[in-house]
Amino acid sequence: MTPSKINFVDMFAMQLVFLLSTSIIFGTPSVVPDSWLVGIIAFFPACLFIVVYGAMLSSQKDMGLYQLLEKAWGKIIGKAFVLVYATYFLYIASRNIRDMVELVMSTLLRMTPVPVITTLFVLIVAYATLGGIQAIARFASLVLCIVIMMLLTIGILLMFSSSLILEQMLPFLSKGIGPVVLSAFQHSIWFPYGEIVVFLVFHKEIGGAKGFRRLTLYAFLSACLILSVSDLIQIWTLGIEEKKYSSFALLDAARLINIANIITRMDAIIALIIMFGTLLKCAVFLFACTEGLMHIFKGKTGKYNFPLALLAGAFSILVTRNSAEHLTEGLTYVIYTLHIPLQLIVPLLTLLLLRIRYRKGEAT
Amino acid sequence: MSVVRFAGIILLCFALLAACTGCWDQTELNQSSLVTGMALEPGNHSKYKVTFEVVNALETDPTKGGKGGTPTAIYSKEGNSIAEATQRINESLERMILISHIRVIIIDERLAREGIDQFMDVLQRNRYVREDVLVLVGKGSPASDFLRTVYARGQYAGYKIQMQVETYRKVYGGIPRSHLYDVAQVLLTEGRVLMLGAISISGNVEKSESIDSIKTIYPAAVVKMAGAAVFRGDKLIGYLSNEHTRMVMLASDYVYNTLFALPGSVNGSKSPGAVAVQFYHMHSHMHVRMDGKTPKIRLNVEGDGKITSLDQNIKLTTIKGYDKIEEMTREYVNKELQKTISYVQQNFGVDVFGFGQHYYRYHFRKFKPIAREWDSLFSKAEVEIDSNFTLRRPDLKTQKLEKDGIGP
Repeated sequence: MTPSKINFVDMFAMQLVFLLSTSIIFGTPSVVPDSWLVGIIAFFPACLFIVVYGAMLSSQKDMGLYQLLEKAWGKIIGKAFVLVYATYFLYIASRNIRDMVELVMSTLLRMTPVPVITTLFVLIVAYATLGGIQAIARFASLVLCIVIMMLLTIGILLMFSSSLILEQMLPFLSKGIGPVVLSAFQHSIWFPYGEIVVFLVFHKEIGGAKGFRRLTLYAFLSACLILSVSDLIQIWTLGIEEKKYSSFALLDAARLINIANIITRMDAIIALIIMFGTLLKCAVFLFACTEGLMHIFKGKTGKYNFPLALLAGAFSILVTRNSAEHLTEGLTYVIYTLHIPLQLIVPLLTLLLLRIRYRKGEAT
Repeated sequence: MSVVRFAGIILLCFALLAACTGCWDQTELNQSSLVTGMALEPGNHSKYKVTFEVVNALETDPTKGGKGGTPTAIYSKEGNSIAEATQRINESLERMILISHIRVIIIDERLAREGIDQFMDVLQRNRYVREDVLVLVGKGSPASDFLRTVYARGQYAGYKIQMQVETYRKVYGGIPRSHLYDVAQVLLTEGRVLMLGAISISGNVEKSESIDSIKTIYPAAVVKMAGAAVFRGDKLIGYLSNEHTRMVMLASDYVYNTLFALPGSVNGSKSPGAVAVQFYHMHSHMHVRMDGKTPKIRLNVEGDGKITSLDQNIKLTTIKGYDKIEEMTREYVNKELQKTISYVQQNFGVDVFGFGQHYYRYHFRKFKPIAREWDSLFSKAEVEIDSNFTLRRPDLKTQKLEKDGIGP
């Protein structure tokens, strides 16, 4: 089968939106005052992912994450791992849906039952995945334009309503550099950067190891830049002290827009950003999940999409009871029990096994 | 196109109609009313009494005009929390209230003295209350009285007060910027105490409630700007006059446009407003450092303006004339600023200027150990004011019109 390569720009857009979508809203958790610095610091260790994943892809020719797992761990354990990864992707998708629902429920629609919103949303996600990764990627450039335009709009409008007060980012490093670095290692490198592991599934479209390295480096750089700018906008408008208490800091910042009492409260923009972003991110995860299931159970293309989407939707409601539980789970438990093992340890072990079992040059 | 396909598409359209309209969150316009003002007072039976100014939309229609009714109606409700009273407002009102267009929140003096922190949360948490809504303190009268004054322009009290405050602040600067987010920002940062705008009523409120009161040329009661309410922590401790407030705002770089009436001499006798100068772009910078236990503050005030009135004979065709007026302005502003600062230091002993905040932001490590005692340090602070005003043009006349006189 000839690899159907996608336009480089589309693929880059997909990765970038994937990295931005939910983190632009929930972004860097405000556990330290200088949260904008966290994103910048997290970029450097995050490049480790590129090295590890790139090495994985280059160790074998033309093999994605699922094939590599099976090749490294053998048929049975490998398949078990494939199943674990598929479930992991579905779980993250459902968490992202929940993120979106939380924002929509607390800002736009308050009475509408959550299942209605979720169901309608996951149906669109499932529909988006039916066209395969090519369709998602083509859709991504559009979303990227929307996201960046909206963010710029917010920045410019805030500037014109003289809400950007640069002084508010001071005092700089009031708690020292320690907590900032710690926060980078505890949160930011696993989410959003580590989630790039899902793109290993699409090795063909991404253009093998070489393409992956190049693409992801660019995407990481851009994401780091945009997230830091977004963080800075939040700090400049809300101030270091107040940002800490905000559930959706960017939304709170957008609420301060007021140009001559005509253009006021652009918080709908934020809802648009997160809706489009989540749509794309969930589509990527869902598609990766269906690929995994097809790898194990075989079956016709498009057979799993709708059931899995509904499952993700249902799971997004069932996964946690309230938003505090959702956040705690996301920021502590998921990182230690899922992100670190599945984003770092298993790939590292796989890489090691591949190197030991199949030396260079004697690839089968 | 087959029949089945066609039917399928029609069905899908209907499904979309049902699913995408968001019927749960609908609010019919003729079943809801806009709230434009809110007044908070201590209640007689419960903890709070919340008063809403609800717009009667038919009467405020500018094209058709009303039927002669009042543009707004006032509803009060008591409750043990603001949220409870708001939710129970429908015990006396038939429509759902929409609070997203609220213009002012007026806090009663008595409530402010007990502390505003106990009820601010409901306003900050609510997604519908705008962040730039004005939070004011009603001085001298119960807060609900401010909403009971009717105006000749057929507008609601809340809108009038908001516009008045914003315009006054823009052209003169005698009232602090007291938006809802300013409250949160000041209460969260270090080294600055809260100042909210204060308003008072002059005239008879009882008469002013009726629509007939606006049919006279002189309104029965008028809401007036009364400077600033100064807080220690979240509790009201006193008021600053409009003049003092302007100087405080000038020092903390919130005044851009104002006018100074400078004392001089007219025909040999002293006159308090012989020269008036108007400034359009004012800026101030502060530098704070600690000298042992006394803060040394240097304040730079800059301004760019023109001469508005001149009752004294100064030639504005000469550079000397400008220099003289600039010197007079400098002297006057320095003196007034110094007066305001020592007034605040002696009477309140809290830092309303934000000197401490500046020190906190730019010298965090030095500020940290003295954060708790900043207010007492501030009252001993030495302030050195260095102002620099530039007068650019004399408007249309080069000097006061005066008969030159001919011959000896």
